[in-house]
Amino acid sequence: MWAPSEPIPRINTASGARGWRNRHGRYRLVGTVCGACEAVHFPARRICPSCRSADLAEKPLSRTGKVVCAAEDHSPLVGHGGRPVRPFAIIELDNGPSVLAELVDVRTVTPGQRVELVIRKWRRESNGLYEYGYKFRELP
Amino acid sequence: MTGLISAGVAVPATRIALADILRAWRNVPEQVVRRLGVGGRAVPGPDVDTITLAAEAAQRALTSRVDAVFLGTQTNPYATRSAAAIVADMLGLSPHVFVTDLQCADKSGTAALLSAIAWVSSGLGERALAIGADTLALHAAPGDPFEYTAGAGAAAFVVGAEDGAATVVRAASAATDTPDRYRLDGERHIRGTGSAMTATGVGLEQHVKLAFGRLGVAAEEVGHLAVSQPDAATPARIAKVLGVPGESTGAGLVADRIGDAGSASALLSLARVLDRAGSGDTVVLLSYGAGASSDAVLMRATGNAIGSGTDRELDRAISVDYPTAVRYERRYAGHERLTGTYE
Amino acid sequence: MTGVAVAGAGITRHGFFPARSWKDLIVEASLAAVADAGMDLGRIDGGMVSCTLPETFEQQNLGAVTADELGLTPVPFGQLVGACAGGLMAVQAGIRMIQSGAHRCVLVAGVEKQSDTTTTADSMLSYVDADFEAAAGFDFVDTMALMHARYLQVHGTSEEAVAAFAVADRWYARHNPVAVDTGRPDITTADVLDSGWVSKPITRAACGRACDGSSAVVLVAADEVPDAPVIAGIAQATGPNGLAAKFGHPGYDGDIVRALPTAIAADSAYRQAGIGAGDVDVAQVHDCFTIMGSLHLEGLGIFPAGKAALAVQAGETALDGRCPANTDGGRIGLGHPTGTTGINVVVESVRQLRREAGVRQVRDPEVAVCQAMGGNNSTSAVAVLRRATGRSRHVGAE
Ligand SMILES: [Zn+2]
Repeated sequence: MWAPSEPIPRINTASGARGWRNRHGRYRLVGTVCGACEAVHFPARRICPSCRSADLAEKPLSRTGKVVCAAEDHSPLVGHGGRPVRPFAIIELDNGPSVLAELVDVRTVTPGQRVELVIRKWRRESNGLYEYGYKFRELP
Repeated sequence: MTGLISAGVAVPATRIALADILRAWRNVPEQVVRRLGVGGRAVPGPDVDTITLAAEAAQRALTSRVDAVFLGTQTNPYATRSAAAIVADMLGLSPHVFVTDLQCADKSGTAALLSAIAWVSSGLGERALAIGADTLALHAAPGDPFEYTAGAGAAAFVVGAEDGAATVVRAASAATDTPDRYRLDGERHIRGTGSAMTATGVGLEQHVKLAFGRLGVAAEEVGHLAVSQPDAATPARIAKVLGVPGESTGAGLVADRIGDAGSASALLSLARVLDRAGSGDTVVLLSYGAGASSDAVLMRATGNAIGSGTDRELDRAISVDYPTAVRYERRYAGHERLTGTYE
Repeated sequence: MTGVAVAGAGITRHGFFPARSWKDLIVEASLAAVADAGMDLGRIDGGMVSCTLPETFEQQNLGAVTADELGLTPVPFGQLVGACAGGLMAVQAGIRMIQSGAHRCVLVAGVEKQSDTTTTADSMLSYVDADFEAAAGFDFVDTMALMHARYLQVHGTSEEAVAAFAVADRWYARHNPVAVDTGRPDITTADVLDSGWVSKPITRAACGRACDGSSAVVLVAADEVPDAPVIAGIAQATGPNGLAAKFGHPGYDGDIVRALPTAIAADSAYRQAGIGAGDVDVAQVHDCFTIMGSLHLEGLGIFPAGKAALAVQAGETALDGRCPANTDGGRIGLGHPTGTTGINVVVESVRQLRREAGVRQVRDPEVAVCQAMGGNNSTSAVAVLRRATGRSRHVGAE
């Protein structure tokens, strides 16, 4: 079988740096805690939106939480189409802020459901690298 | 003393019944498939690979600081990048960590464990994490009989200079050039080289016998045999070859529900054994890697449960049908870049 | 009052046009707006272009390129991006250009050519959070599915009530010759609910229609065109971009069931115009999905929180209702060329105030409100237009 070997131009092929620099947020929910007012943020911030202090410290947030509200993606984006249906939810972390995340290995999703972080592939970047990040599954 | 302190495992929740694969292919007699003793095998979800399985197992195993990560796999999604380094970062370990990947076919996992044991025993570090992880399902060719059993999974152990749940007594190994199964550079699928190599015992039986024979333990003393299990019939076959009590394979059986977890197989088996072994029980870990090599580790259980939760992960099962498995495992040729729409 | 009037408005047919480029579209809309103003193109002394997804046709610096295409160089032209609110924000920038005294006649044009890429949803991904939403596979239909789910959860509203927005849009769109849905038959809430999940609870027919399209308005000092509708107030407000970050955000009520930037912008625009929500005779809101139309009607204060979907279902936004809304068919019926949308709402407001909307004409409107949202309620712009009074007004006085 003949395959063309000409490179295909893409204006925007991500450098390795772009996804790499935010990996702590993706792997371990590293957010920020405000030294002035103790507000906790995710993703990590540079200025606290509550008190505008810049005295922020990075901190891994809780790996467990509960579903606030949920929906179900039936038209996954390119690179996320492995499953025909992707349940996802706003998850309120224990002692922390809320995150938007996909739910995996679940049959039904109801508000209040307890969930725990699992690490999964998010997508393959345009440069070929795998980008991994948090998803959540039911806690027994 | 060097012992296994804690353990964690990860197994894809999605599983396919062998009967479903048989319905699609009908290329192996039904009674032959049934003889494998595997009800269903793990189907890695589309967002699961060796690195995610290793990270999940390691996260559950990690109860204390470790200063080394040994990751054994033959299915690292990267040909050159260290999966262990990625996993160490996912775990949030200090960057002052020794990491290495080990590749020795299906015994990569026990190679990682032995390396961790050696690392701790030598005094190079206090605690080391050993992980075995594989996604064989992604490397079984559609229609190959291997597709019936090729599963996925990961198991991780923290090894330390203390008794833990099981204390390491002795280890022995064996290796020869025996080409029974392999994957070539640039190829996706693992090839078998025919039943002359697999059915005669020239690979599996000879190597486990060689390694076990050097452990210096009487066969009848073995309380638990935690063994590599490409299928659920293999543990009994090996027990018979070695002359160890048949019931010693009971606690370590995992392939009946998840199929062949490759490098994770023997370690998953060990995790399940150490969740239930009694104080003083003689435990033998025995692996086989195609190509071919075996590791054997003699351990004494202390009666402290290792708390791996292996049964919980094995029980977390969601059935999928063959078309779903084909989609999850991407067993088709598609566009490199699909086109989507915005409704 | 801003002291600025809309002297002319133009809009192209909305849809997919493989043979036409973005330049074809923006030139057509611009010439239509200038012609509608009864002016010569040479009177334009400044311009602003809105486009949300220029990467679909891989061209930037659209201000200069548009000026060149119109033969207007060296007139100053800029480009403004504010997600799907960018069009109305460009109008606001055009108003400021005139108020500054530096310009007398400003062209504000929006354009989108979404069909120039095979994966429009990919392009839209630059607007959700790049690191933690887009990378994780969430686009706007997903984030807004959560708003939809939350609305049902918090207000106990029925799916049918939320779906009614698409039914109302269809009636208007079928009578709008430039709409994607022009000439198509009416639909029912059952049609909307049975059209298949895109991101549950959002169905296919509940979605705004990505498409190609352009529209333009010509802005001049109100005292120069005493017969033209005037922009009595305009404002824009922002909110956090990340959806989950809205929970617990100090500037955001701690929930996602309220279009807060819309409410804040509306408050300011109403104050400038000296009106209240009760004075609005016709409204254009950002219904990129059915749920968003209702959220913004609530944000504008036209219906109380949690009541807009029910009001739409009860026909209160129909032509004979309490406040006819999205009389051009909205994002769902007219189409949603994202960068154009914020100008489309002005175009329709002008048509209604000039009483040129044909069968879609609202009876004797004096005050029209239009609104456009960008992101997940991360930005919203609101403008109040008034029917021409015929009196002269001093530019810059507010
Ligand atoms: Zn603060």
